[in-house]
Amino acid sequence: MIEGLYPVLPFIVGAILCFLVGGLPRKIIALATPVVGLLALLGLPDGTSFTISFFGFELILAQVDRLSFLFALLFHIAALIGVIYALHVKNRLEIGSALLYAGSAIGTVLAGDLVTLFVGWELLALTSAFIVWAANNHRSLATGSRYLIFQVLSGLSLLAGLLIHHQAGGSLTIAELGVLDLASPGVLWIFLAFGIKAGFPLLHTWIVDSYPAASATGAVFLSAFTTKTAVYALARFFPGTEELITIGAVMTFFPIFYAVIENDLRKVLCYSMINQIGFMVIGIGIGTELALNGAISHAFNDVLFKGLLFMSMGAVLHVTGTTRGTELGGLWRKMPITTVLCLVGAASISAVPLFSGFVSKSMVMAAALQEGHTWLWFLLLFASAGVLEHAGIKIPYFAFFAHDSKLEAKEPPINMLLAMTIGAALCIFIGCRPDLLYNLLPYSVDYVPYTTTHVLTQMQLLLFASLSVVVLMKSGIYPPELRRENLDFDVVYRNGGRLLGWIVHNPIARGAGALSHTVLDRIPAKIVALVDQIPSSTTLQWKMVLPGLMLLLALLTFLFSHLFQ
Amino acid sequence: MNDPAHSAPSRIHWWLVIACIIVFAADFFYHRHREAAVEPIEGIPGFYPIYGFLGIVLLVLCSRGLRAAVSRKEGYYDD
Repeated sequence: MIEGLYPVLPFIVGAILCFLVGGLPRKIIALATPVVGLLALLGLPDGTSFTISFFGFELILAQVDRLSFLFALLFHIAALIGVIYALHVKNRLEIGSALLYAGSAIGTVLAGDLVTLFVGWELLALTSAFIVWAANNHRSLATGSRYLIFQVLSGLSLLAGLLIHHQAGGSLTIAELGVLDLASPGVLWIFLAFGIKAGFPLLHTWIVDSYPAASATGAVFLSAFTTKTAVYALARFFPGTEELITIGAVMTFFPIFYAVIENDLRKVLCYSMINQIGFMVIGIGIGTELALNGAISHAFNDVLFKGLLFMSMGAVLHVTGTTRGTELGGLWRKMPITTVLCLVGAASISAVPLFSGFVSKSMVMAAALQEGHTWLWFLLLFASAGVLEHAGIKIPYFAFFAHDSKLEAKEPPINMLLAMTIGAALCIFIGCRPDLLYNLLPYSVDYVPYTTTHVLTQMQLLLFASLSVVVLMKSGIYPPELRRENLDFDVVYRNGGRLLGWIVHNPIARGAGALSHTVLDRIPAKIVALVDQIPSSTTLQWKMVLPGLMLLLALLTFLFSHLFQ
Repeated sequence: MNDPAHSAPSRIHWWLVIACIIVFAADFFYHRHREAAVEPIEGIPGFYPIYGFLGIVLLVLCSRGLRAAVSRKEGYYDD
């Protein structure tokens, strides 16, 4: 435990050093950074600390309560796992940006006022865009720019919201803010800002667009921080906001259909991520102690098991160069350890008993029933079966089993295996000893996940859903993997962007060209021609005076029109 | 077609069938805690197995429809 050290500082220093040095020293620095950060976090006092004065504003860099501590702890664990996973990477832009990115996420959840939160929010956007760009393949540059547009819009929305909120006399310190009301001035902008980063329906497209374009290691970092920071922000400012229940329901529902037909297995994970965030958003929307505990513990578990799944697909990408279902298959003989670790992640996200998803997702569902949302409960049960189909069966099946693709493959580097093993161990550990996670939650937990009924009904749901998948595959009804692009709402943004580009390049550019031709070329030419028509007997001075007079006339007209309007 | 997806069920599939039979039968041999709010449906013996099985059938059928609607050639955005 280190007292008196702001936990974000090690990440800034570590990132700078990682940009400067290479080889073994960089590896040691990268590994030490999250460890020092974690020790600093454990040394932070409860409540407000690290206040600085900035242009007359009192900025509160750290505000520790149970909610912010849990997320900061989670982000330190995710950063450490991510660094171990990326230890073999020689790209200093990626590892440096990743440390800054993790630090921004930690700074955002620790922020004690909206201005500090906004700064973290923007740094989160900028640093993560560099991770997308660092992949440096043919699509990462354009994708990274599209990604940044969404993130910057989220930042602008947050800025607009907090300015309007402050103008209307609202407090900016989190301790005084409490729960925000969507009807009060500016709050809708803040809600929208969080919504973009959380992947609300129609605003979700950047996740599916950018994460699969990142490198094997980059996607692991990306999957951990941005969306979960948004979940933290929603849980902090909007618990019990009923609109979130509907939004979350849509989020759990539509991605499971896309996940069935998507060929790129990392894209399947992105849809899966939106689905899981949907469960958290619903929990926050319900807003009871049980629901919030469920949402927050599920966010904690999701970072670990989704990270594990992204790591296992990253390992496949690292050794085979692809994550397309059409090209993979039969890898379990060549990658047995990766296969088992992937299956642990698959079991965790599918909420198999003894794995982490089982102890958190069901809290949200129990809370939905308690509050009388019966239709929602049936929907969530359906979505749970859907999760099993795409994340529990489809991803491991098409990568490691199915037909043998005869691809050259071997186990990934030892550091990747170690990172995945740590992730898998945490998934099983939390699944078996949920009380340790429950003790960290904001409210005291009297929920008991391991009852005979819960274990048996969950096994019934999962086993029969699996049987259904097998029957549908054997009968040929299950849609085969195809190398196709599935249009999502992104088509509106991207074709809309193209339309805007066309308008700028064609009507506007041509119109501007015609206008400048008229004003700069044709009218002066007319004047010169007019002057030339003046009989040559008049003196040269007169020829000069006429254009001057015309200019004066124009100026006077302009002035008078302004004076007398 | 030698795709194992369409081949005869292997041993693991028979284990799955046995496991399904066991958990289905379990419903009749213990006192299941029923959720009061949704009991008329949830309380039916075999609710979870049937819901899980039919849910996936519905999911897959709808996804086939979705594919018909949104599927384009790979590299759609590139040209």
